[in-house]
Amino acid sequence: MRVWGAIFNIFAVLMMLLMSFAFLNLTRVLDRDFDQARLNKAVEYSTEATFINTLEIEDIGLDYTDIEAIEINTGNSLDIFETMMCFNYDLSVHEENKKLIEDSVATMVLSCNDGFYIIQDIYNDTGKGEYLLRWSPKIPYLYDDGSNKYAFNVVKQKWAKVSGSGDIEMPLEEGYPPGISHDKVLEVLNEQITRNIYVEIENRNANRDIFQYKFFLPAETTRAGVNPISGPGILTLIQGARFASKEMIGTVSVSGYKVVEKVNVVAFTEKIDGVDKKFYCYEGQMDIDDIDTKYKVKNYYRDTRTAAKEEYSPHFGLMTKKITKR
Amino acid sequence: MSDFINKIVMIALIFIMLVLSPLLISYKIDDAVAKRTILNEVSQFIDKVKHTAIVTEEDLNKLYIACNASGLSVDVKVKRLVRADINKDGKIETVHYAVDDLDGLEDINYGDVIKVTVTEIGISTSRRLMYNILRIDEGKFEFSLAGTVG
Repeated sequence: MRVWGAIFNIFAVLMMLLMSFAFLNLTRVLDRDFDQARLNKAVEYSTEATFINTLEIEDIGLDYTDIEAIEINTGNSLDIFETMMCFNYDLSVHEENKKLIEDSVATMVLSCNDGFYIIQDIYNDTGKGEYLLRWSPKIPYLYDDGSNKYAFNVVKQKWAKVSGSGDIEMPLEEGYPPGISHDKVLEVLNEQITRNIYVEIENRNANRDIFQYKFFLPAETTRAGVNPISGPGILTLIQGARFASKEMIGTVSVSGYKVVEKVNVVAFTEKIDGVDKKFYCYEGQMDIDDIDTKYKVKNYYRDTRTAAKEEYSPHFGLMTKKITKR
Repeated sequence: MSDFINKIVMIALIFIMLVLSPLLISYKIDDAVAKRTILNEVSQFIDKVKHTAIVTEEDLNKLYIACNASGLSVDVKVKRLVRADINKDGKIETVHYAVDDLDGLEDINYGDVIKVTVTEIGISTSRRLMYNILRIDEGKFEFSLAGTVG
């Protein structure tokens, strides 16, 4: 009996060791899960701040109204990304901390209408002789069909062709060359960006850290929800963040934004029983024939809150209509 | 003698496996859920401010209550950071001015940063023991999130 008791005890100790190991693993997984979720949020907010800063709108009327008028300027966007990451991790905004964040940037791509910028690892031999991240010159969207080379503007749908003999063709009207569809252009540009990301990550791996490349850009939205690049946008990949957790987070955090047309709020007056009543609705909800006849447009606002502050009430008849601007 | 030691070991093992282990696992899962809840509340708050560019007293109260309803006792600080460039001995430097009074938070300009810092207060003795002896707790829970209004 005594022997059996000892055997059971040994068995129980082994079980306990196994359970302890499982428990420690559980705590690690739970902590890592939180750190990963926080990193995703931090990257999302920092990428958004960076993107807001890169946008330049040529149209001086309403912001974001003409999607073709949007220009992208890299400027100090990388610095803004690093500053925002410092805020998100309570790090002082200092060169050393910015460098720490830079080390985890696997790649960043800023896509425009007719080309894209990508983060490159540049060797700076003037200062301390270190590698720095800098934006590349703008790389145009190119397609080579074997005999001709094409450059595209995907938003304005314009193109330029350089034939084998060196002749340049640049039509003024919109539309793609015969035999090339919009889907084909999207496929080509996403493939080109994916290839460039791969090359830049390989360069970074040769110089410093190890980034595992496991990301691709599809030509059309996948079932998993990955969108292709189809105009002005930003894509950030963060891997191996040392500042985000007790141990390095090895998984990739991806964040991307693209420009969409903003739907403004239209404030207007309508004559009811001989009195001008103040209302608001979204752009594209009014019948075009009613503008300036039935409804007198007074102002545009960014959101309904501001319109309400200016004492405009929602026009429920119009607000239920489909927004046709998008 | 060995029979007596066997019994003592058995009782200790029963206590560890039937009382201590479920308590520890339950505590750790509750703690993880609380942290995720706070993270979600804070990100929801930032998303709202990013869109509306305004922080009201009601928004702040809701955030404090939501964070403290998670199970952890936390202090929440909301700051608005205004980006500005200053001339320091001929060199232009970018600085961020922090504003945390309610008047300063009420009308936020586009491009300003809204930062939320959550700090745990009143950590229980059992958790302190778990952090200092067993090392399975991360100690005081503290994190920040910041987004740009725009």
